[in-house]
Amino acid sequence: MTVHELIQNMNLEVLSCGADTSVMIEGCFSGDLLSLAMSNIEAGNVWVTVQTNVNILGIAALTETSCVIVANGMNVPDPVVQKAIEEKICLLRTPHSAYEVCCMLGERI
Amino acid sequence: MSSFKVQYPINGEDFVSAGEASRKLKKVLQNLGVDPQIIRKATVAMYEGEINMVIHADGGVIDVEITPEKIHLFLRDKGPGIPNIDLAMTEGYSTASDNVRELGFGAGMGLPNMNKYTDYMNITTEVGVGTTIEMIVNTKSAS
Repeated sequence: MTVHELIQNMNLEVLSCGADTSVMIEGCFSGDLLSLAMSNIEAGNVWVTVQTNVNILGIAALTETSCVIVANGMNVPDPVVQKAIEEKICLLRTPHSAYEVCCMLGERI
Repeated sequence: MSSFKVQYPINGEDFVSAGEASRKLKKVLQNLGVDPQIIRKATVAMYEGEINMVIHADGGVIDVEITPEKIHLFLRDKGPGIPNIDLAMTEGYSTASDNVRELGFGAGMGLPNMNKYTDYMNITTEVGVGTTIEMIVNTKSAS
């Protein structure tokens, strides 16, 4: 499944569409501790988190996530959205919890 | 590929640009055609070190030397030093403030991750003077 298909399939809010939504999704990591995310996210993973500070973008870029899904409809500060757009990082949001998102992902990828 | 050196100054308490140096190193390594698995090891280790310098040491300097055999990282700061290295190397142990933890840092995984992702790591530290961490990632094997 591509990021684009995931966005449509899960009705995700697009805060920043990233460089290329046609990339394939390869697995998922869910977590909010940045060191754990840094060491566990594999390239192509979806990263599900409730963290919304600017540092998630650095992690996303370094680990080459396919997209970041912000769970629980958490507020993402405008400067973070702007930086995600500038850095071409796909930043998505959903009102669902991380658990619900992971269950949905498990059925789809 | 001959030896290639690059230096990154790190600003203390600057959480907005924290991680920038690691991202720059990643691009350098990609441009040099380094194996992606090796790039990942080096950038995870450097990111953790970079974040530690931002959180604990009011910044510092990271020197990187890239040779055909290895990526050599030197992280130098003039921070408070590490009183007990064994304790600091314990997964889950952290002296980070609540403010830092709210940002998702301070899980106590920094130094253990740096050790895990490098082939050699040596910490030289003196309380009240600063810390130097030397790390090597061999580029000949993706293990």
